[in-house]
Order: sequence, then C-alpha cells, then structure tokens
Amino acid sequence: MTDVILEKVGKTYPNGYHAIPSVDLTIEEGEFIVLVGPSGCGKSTLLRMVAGLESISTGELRIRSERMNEKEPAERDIAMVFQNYALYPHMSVYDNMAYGLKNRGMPKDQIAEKVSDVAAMLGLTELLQRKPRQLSGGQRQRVAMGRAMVRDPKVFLFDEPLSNLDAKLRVQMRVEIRQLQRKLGTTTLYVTHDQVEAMTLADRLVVLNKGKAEQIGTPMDLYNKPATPFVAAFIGSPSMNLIDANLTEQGIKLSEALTLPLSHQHRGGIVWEFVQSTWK
Amino acid sequence: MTVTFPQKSLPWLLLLPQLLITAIFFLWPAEQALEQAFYQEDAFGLSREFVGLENFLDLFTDPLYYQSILTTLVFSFSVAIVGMSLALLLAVMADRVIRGKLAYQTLLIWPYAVAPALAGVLWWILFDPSMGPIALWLKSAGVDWNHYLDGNQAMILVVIASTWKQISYNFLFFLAGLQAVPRSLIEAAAIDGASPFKRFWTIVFPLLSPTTFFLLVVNLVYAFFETFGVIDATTKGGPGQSTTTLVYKVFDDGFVGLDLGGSAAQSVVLMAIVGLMTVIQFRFIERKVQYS
Ligand SMILES: Nc1ncnc2c1ncn2[C@@H]1O[C@H](COP(=O)(O)OP(=O)(O)OP(=O)(O)O)[C@@H](O)[C@H]1O
Ligand SMILES: [Mg+2]
Repeated sequence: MTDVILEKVGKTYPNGYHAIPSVDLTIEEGEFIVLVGPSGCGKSTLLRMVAGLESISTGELRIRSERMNEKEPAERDIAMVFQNYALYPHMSVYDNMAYGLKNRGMPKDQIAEKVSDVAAMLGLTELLQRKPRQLSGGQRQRVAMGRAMVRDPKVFLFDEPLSNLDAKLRVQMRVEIRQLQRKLGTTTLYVTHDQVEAMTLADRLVVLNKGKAEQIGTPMDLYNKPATPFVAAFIGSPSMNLIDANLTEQGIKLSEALTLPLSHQHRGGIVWEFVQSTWK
Repeated sequence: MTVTFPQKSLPWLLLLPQLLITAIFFLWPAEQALEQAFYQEDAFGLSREFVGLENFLDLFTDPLYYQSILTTLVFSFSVAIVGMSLALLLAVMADRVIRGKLAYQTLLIWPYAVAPALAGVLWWILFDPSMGPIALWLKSAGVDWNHYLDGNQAMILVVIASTWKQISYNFLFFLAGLQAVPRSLIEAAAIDGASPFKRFWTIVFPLLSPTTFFLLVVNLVYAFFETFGVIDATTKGGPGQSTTTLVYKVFDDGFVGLDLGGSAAQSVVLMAIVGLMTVIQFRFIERKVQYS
C-alpha cells in the first residue's frame, strides 16, 4: 500500500529562492527512504514540507491518499527527530515524551503506560526523571526518538539525527534505528549527507542535487547503475573515477593517443553501460 | 582578559575621573547622611546636637513611614508587573512581525531615551484635569479624573508615567530572550499538537524565566529608586501621602519639611535596602538558571 506520495512538489522561499523545482516520490508503507545529497541541496526543505513546517509552494503531498498541503503539522500524524534533538530543556525526560500525548488529551494512566513501554524499549527507564541537560548526547538522541515513537505516528521524519554523535555511537545508533523501524514497521523518511549511513539504512535512496532528484532506487541500483555522473561521483568511497571523453566513429576517444573501441552497435547514449562493462 | 601596564600610575590616572565622581557624588554625601542621621539640626542649619538613635526610633514609630513603605510596595510591584506584561506582549508581537520589523522595534525603544522628569511632564500634561486630552476624554467617558484630589488616580498616574519609560527596556530584554528560544523547540511542540497559545505558556514562557526574574529585580530597583523625577513632575507625592514613596519621602521630609536628621535616617535605611537588593541581584542573577 502506498503511504506517502509527493507529486511534483516544489518550494520557493519567501525571499524568492527556488530551493526545489519539482520532486516526485512514492513511498510504500513501512519503507525506509533516505534523502541524501550535498549540503544545501534541499534535503531539509523537502522533509520540512512533509512535516508541515514549511509550506508547499507547488504540487501535492498525500499521506494515506489524503491531501496534506493545508494541514497543520499536528494534523498530519507524523513525528520528527531534529538534528539538535529539540528536547524541551525545562521538562524531564518523562514529560518530554508525554507532552505530545497530553496535548492530544490521552488519559494520564495510558500516557504513563505508553511512555514506560517506549522507555523500556530504548533503555531510558532509569533516566525518566532527569532533565535533558543531565544526559549525554547519545541519551538525548534516544529521548528524541522516544518522543517520536510514543505517538505511533504514520510517518517518522529524521533530519540528520546522528550527526552530533561520535563515530562509534553513530554506527551503533544506525543499527538500532534500523532494527526499531523494522520492528515498528513505520514508514520513514530519513535525511543525511553521510552516504555510508544512507547506503546502510535505506530500502530506497533519493539522491538530491540542487533540489532535483537525480535518482531514486535501492542502494545496489545506485551503486551499480548510477543514472547520472552526479550520482556516480556521489556514491561509493573512494568515489568512482570520471574521465572526459569524446564519442567518435572509431569509438570512445580519451585522448589523441588513446581510443577505446565500442563493442556495441549503438553509438549514442550508451557510454555508461560501456564504462561499466569494461570495469567488470 | 588581563592587561599589564608598564607603570603603576597610569591605571590609577585612568580611573581617577570615575573615582572622583564616585567620591564627590556618592561617598561623600553617603558619609554625610550617615553622620546626619545621628544628629538633630535646627531649621536654619546653624546648630546641631547629637541624639544617638532617636531619629531612627522616631522613624520606626511613625505610622506615616509605614504608610510610605506600603505605598512604595504597591507602586513598585504595579510598575514591575504592568511594565513587564505589556513589554512581553509587545515583544511577542514584534517577534512575529516580518515586514517593517526594524521600524517597529525602533519606535518601541524610543521612550527609554526620554529623561524621567520629561516623561513625568508629558504624562502630567496628558492627564491634567482641566485641559489634558486623556483627562478630558475620560471625563466624556464618565470617569471623573482628578489626580489632585483622588489618591488612587494619582497612584495610577505615577504608575503609568513610570511604566511607560520602562517598557522599552523590558521589551528589549524580552525580545532578545524570545529570539534565543530555538525555533526547533517551537516546531517540535507544533508537531506534538500544542496550539500556539499552549506553545507559548508551556515552552516559551518557562524558557524566558531567567529573563523574567532578572527584569523583575531590575524593575523593582527602578521603581524604588529611580522614579523620583516622575513623581516630582506629576503628583509631588500627593494628594496627601498617597504617592509618597520612600525615596520621595526622603526629599520631602528633608528639603520641604526641613527635618534633616529624620531624612538622613531614612536615607540610611534606603542604603541598606539598596545593598540588599544588589546582593540579591548578584547572587541570583549572576548564576541564573542555565539551560543547555
Ligand atoms: N528560510 C529560507 N529562506 C531562503 N532560503 C532558504 C531557507 N531555508 C533554506 N534555504 C535555502 O534552501 C537551500 C536548501 O536548504 P536545506 O536546508 O534544505 O539544505 P540541506 O540539504 O538540508 O543542507 P544541509 O545538509 O546543510 O542541512 C539552501 O540553498 C538554503 O540556503
Ligand atoms: Mg539540513
């Protein structure tokens, strides 16, 4: 079942900056989608439009076939984990997690049950009475996840949730996020600029470049069959070698002295396949 | 940062003007007042006699003094609470304005540049019972405004005149405080289903509490000690004693009533209060609540 649909979604900021021309994306229920791309390419913008924190300038966003463009963030049944966690500094861990449920008018005993369940799942039970400033970075990150999870939203949105952690913890949390998401089966949209994170987490990746989706596909698709030079250069470490060449009658001419013969009949539009096949 | 001077004399030379001003306008008069508080002086200042603690005993058995303490408390808390509430409201609105932000903020900061006595005169004119526009407007609305006769109206007038100036100052601090609240917290609360009103009271306002406490102390100190000019220009402490705050009473008893000893004793009490408030300010404000 399709869960989230972005149809020709575009964004122009009030100052006239055209951050995203048009993006099409269909997300299946339970899928883990990673938005990846260089800094400033519009990943956060796209995520925030799904969250309802930025207005959608053009196109349509649907969640479970319902149009969302005009809905407030609270009405979209989504939960978001921010890069800086955005925990309420004056509230205890418990109150941070309970806040969204209280606002929705859930009875107190149900809130307590829900929060303690999620806290147990994330190993936060001991920390429920602490204030965010009394937690380590990793613990804060967990609380932020807990706050998103207690509400059982339709969609999880993550904006670079691991970028403030040290390398080791980042790897550990990556695994944990993936396991939790599998277990809960919640549709997830995850933003990162770290391609290793992207490749290991995603069911499907969206590579963004200057607000355009260069390619959408599984990690292996992108790795083996990059659709554009940008994707080819962006994915893989060390990155793929790109060499300028001219396509001529004789074959692919790399320099005056070196021309690689073409094995195909076709002369146009096959350079990528050619390059890949010579590598294999 | 530490700066090392080659000779010892230069730093003292640089400090000299400030030290001189402090000595001439603060230390010397303070010492005089302290001494005066233990003497009884005749009305012409020709002779004086040591009376020990008598001035203080008179002071603390005088019902008018307690009346003045009460007046001061009512006045100060009114100024602080009215001034801070209005400033917070204006700051919240200014924080939302997108176009013309600078003009709006500049206009709100202006009153702070007006001298207290001038602010007093301004409001005195506006509220003058026979010709002030606001007084006339109130009369047409059925309110019989005459702060020369009605003590409560006089109090309202001095509170308005004193608050007006202070709103600018409070506004600046609240605006800075509001702008320091991370946007993502508000956004997280919006996703968590809190209405704008609820976001303000459960997230923004608690985060402003260090600012609020700081401003409360500053406003109380202002209302206690820096409103002499406003009161003198509007009501001169009257009618009766209804707007005679402690500071105004020092002036009134000393220079109008010519009871220099009693006035000096009051000054000494005020000095003690200033000292206490300074300690509070340093103790609590310097290590104000830190959120990280
Ligand atoms: N409020 C705004 N007004 C105008 N332009 C904006 C605004 N917010 C973002 N932009 C611009 O839109 C573009 C995309 O920004 P966005 O924050 O989505 O990038 P990003 O991909 O998340 O980058 P990063 O990896 O650095 O977080 C950038 O060029 C940015 O300067
Ligand atoms: Mg971003």
